[in-house]
Amino acid sequence: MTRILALLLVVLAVVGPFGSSGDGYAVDWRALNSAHGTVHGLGGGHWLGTDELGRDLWVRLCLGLRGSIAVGVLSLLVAAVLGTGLGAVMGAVRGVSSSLVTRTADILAALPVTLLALVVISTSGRGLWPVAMTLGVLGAVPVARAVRVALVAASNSSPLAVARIHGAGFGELARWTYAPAAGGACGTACGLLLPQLLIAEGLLGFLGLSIPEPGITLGSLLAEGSGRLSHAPLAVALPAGAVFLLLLATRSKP
Amino acid sequence: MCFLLLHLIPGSPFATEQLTDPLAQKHLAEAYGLNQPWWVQWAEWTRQALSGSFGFSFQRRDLPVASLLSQAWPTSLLLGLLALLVGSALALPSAISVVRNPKTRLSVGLSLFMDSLLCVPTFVSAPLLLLLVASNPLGLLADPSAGRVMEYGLAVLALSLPVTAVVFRWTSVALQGAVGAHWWPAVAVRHLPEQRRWWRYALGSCVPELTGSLTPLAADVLTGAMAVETVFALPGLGQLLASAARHRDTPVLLGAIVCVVVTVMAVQLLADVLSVVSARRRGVESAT
Repeated sequence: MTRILALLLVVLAVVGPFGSSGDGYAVDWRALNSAHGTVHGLGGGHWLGTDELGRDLWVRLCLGLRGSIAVGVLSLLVAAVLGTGLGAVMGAVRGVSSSLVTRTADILAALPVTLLALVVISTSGRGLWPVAMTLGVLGAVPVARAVRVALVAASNSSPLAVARIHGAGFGELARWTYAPAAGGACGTACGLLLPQLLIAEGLLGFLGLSIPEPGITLGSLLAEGSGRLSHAPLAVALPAGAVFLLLLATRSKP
Repeated sequence: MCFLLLHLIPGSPFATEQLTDPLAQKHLAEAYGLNQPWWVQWAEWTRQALSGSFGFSFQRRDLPVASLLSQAWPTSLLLGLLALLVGSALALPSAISVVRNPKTRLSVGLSLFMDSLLCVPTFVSAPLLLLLVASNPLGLLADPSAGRVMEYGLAVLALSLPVTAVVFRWTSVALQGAVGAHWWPAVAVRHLPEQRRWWRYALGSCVPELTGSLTPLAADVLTGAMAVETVFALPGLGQLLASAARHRDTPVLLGAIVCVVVTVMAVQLLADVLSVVSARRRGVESAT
């Protein structure tokens, strides 16, 4: 069910902005000038009405969804690649250097991702790549820890000892034992990480620290809307609903 | 570590200033000691931090960071503490009710509701609650003083919703473990009042698990407070952090992070003490 919902949201993010008026930035003066000075209701060529500036809500919502999913997926990919590589090194190399990397990862894991991301983004600047890279690098820490634990457990397992006795080389061991163990751990860690990354991105966007204008994310839409609640309530309710559905689609049942 | 991160990443706190003159930029860097090597800056910052001073804000010129923190920290502490209390007050009875009678409609509905709350982060719950009362259906915001109290209450509620969901989940899992433990049938056959059995014995046995999870929860609450304080215009640590990050106000950012880390460490200490006390009490109870 959650997979179908996730697929629907991705389709909406890709195709949705072409619907309704097809432009999320153009101001519709007709919508602004009718009724009480502003019209934010349905119709008038806008499927979900307009925001307080006369911009198409449907298109902006889909663009926000696209921005949030893009940051989330990009940062997850960075976290998966970097975390698996780092975890493999931490699992393979023993000694002081490995302990140093592991302890650094432990310290980083103790701090909330959003706080560290605030520190990095405040200096490196906003944008799709800086935010995705920052969240990805910080998200790589739990992935690396999971991969390391899985690799250490795999290297101490009985089947591996038997395979070694029978003369299996490193290539075979890596293919049949290490890779599945690391892949499984990476998959599980990434499944738990994705909603956290989406929440972190949403909070950064809400605080104006994610993709800068004209880029749109669900967090920035919520921040825009919460300043003008009485004029355009749908401008808050719709992005809030979209964040809820996005998190529902990505959260795995315990 | 945060200090290192700030200095390793390319960029400058004054990059957003409209300063095209390199001489002016040089003077600013000299005035704030940014022309020094990073280890000299770190040593100076550590010396100041240990003496309770974090330097001066870049954004609000000549305003000591310590005074900003001393104004903001109590607000966030109170907000976080109230959110934890409200969240626990909602989650604990709900978890006991669901574990006691798992198959009733109420329990199923409650579980679904709590699961759905996990998908409502504070940057969603705060604007939604504000939207809910923006129409002012009960006329509660007509009086400005009542409106302020109402806003504070809403801020606590917005922050406590994710807390409720997380505490409910942990407590449910821990209670299921307690009910499945070898000692539970012995408690069940004793003629004790139902409430006492669940609250004292079942929930009491979950204290180590719950206190162990208190530290990440405190960190999440302080992070989530950034959105809540921004929406409800509360002058707390979260709002200070967000504003410092937007304006690259490094001294305020580092000072606020130190406050967050100290708070989280204090919560960790409290959790450890609670865990030890609970373990001793249970040891005495089982011996008698």
